[in-house]
Amino acid sequence: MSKKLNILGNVWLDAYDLIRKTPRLLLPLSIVAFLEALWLEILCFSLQPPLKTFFLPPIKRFFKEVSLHYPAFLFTVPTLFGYGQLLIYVFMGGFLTAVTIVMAASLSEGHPLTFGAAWKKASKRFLALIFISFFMVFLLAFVSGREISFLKAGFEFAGRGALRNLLGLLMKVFRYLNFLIAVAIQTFVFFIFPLLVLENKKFFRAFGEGILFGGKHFGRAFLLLLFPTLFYGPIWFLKGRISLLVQKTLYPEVIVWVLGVGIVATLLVDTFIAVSATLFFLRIRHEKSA
Amino acid sequence: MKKALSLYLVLLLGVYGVLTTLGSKDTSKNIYVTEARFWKAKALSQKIVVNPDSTPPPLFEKSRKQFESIIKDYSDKPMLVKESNLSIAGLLIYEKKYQEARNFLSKVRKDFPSDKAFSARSQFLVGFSYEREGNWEAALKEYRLLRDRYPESQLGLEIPLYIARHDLKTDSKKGSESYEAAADYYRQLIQANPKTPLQFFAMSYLLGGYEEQKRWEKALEVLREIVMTYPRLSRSYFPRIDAYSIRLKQPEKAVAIYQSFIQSYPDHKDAALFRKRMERLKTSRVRKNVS
Repeated sequence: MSKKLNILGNVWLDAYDLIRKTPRLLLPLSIVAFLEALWLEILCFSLQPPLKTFFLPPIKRFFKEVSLHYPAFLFTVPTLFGYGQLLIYVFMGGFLTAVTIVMAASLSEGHPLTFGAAWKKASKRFLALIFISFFMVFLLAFVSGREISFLKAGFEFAGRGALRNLLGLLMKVFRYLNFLIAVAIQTFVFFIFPLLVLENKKFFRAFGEGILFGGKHFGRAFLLLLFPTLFYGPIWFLKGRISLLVQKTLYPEVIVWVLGVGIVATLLVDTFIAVSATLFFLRIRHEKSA
Repeated sequence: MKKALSLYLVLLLGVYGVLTTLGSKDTSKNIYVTEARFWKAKALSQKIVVNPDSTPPPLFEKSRKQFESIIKDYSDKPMLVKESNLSIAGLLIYEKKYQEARNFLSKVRKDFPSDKAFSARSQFLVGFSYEREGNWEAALKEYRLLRDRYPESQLGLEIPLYIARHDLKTDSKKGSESYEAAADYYRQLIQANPKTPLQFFAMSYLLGGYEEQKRWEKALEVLREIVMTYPRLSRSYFPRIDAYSIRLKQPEKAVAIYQSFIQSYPDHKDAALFRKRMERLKTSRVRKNVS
C-alpha cells in the first residue's frame, strides 16, 4: 500500500523538478492564462466607451439594472468572467493541456519536443480534445452542486429530528467539499487526454480506456489531482468572501484582483496537474509493460 | 518563457492603454468612470464621518481634494457638483472647521439659488455646524429657518422630529413638549394641504413621531386617517394597525378601523383580505376575553 502511495510523492517531486528545470512547460497553459487575463481586462472596460456599445445591451438584458453601475457591476464580473473561462477552456484549455502533456512526456523520456512540435502533434487530435473538454465542462456543470440539491430536498421533507439534523450537517459539509466532486470527475476524464495524444488511440477507445484507467487507479489518481488543487484553496476562500473583502477594503476593484491572482494560480496548478498526471500515467504504463 | 511573458504583458498593457485612452476621450460621456470616482470619494468621506475624532488631518485633506477634483472635472454635471460641495462642507464640519464650513456653504448656495432641495440641505448643514460646535441655540435658529423656508423638502419635514429627538436626550419634559410641537406642526400641514403629497408625508412624519414615543393609541388614530385618505396605499399599513392594537390589548380598535374602511371602500381590491384580518382579530379578542 505504502509502495503504491510512494509513487505519488515521487511523481509530485519529479513534476516539480521538471517544471523548475524546464519552465517552458508553463508555456501552453500560459496562453490560456493570457486569454483569460485579456477577457478580464475587456470586462473591466465593458461599460465604458467604446466597448459599452457591445456589452451594455446583453448585460442589461440578463442582469439587473443596478449591474450597469459602479460598483454593482464589479460584483457581476466574476459571473461574466466564468462564462468566458468556460469557452476558453472548451476551445483552447483542453487542447493546450494536451500540448503540455506531450511536452512533459517527451521531456521525461529524454527526447524533448519543442512547443511547436508538441502543438503540431496535439493539433492532430484537436476536435477530439475539444469534445473531451466540452464533456468535462458539461459534467462539472451538471453534477457539481447536484448533491446539495438532493440533500436540500431531503432536508425539507425530513421533518424534525435526527435525520434532518444529519442532512443539514451534510449540506454544510458538502458546500465546502463540493470541489471534491469536481476533482473526482477530473480523475475519470483526465487520462483520456494522454491516451489521445501520447498513444494515439482512436476517440471512443481512448474515451473508454481513459475512464477505466481513472477508475482502476482511482485512489491514487484522485489524490494526485487533489493535492495540487488544494493550492487553489485560498482563492476559493477569497472568492466566497468577496463582499466582505470589498466592505473591509472599500475598494471594489479587489474583485478583479482576486480573479487576476486566480488566473496565475490556475496556470501554476493546472500545469503541475498536467505534468504530474502525465508522469503518473507513464509510470503506470511502464509498470504494466514491465 | 520569458519572451512569452513579456509579450503577454506588452499586449495586456497595450490593450489597457488603448481602452483607457478611448474611454477618457470624452470624460463626461464615461458615466461608469464618473460613478466610480464619486463612489470612491463618498466611501472615504463616509469612513471619516464614522470616526472623525481619530481621523488624521491629511485624510480629511485627501477626501476634500477628491471632491474638489470632481467639481473641477465635472463642472457640467450640476448634480455631482452639488453633492460634492455638500460633502466638502460636511467634512469641514467634522474637521471642526465650523466657520469655514459656514462660509463655504453660503458661497456655494449662491451658485444654485433655485434648487430648493440643495438649499435645504445646505441650511441643515449650517445648523449642524452650530450643533457640532455645541451652540444648540444657534443651531435651533437655523433648523427653524430650514423648516419655515423649505417645508416641502424632506429635511424641512424631518426637522421638527430631529429637534424633538435632541430635546428628549437632554430633558424628557422638554422632549415631550417638542414632540407635541412637532405634532402640531404636522397637523397644520395636513389641514393646509389636502390630498397632496405634502399631506401624505406630513401624516407619515406625524405617525413616526407617535411611534418614537410609543403612543400607540395616537399612532392608530393617524393610521386610520392615512388608510381612509389614501386607500390605495392601505395594504402596507394594516400590519401596523394589527400590531399596535394588539400592543394596546384592544384589538377592537383595529376591527373598528377595518370596518370603517370596508364600509367606505366596499369595492377595494383588498377588501376580502381585510375582512379576513378582521375576523382573525375578532377571534383573538374572544380568546382574550375568555382568558
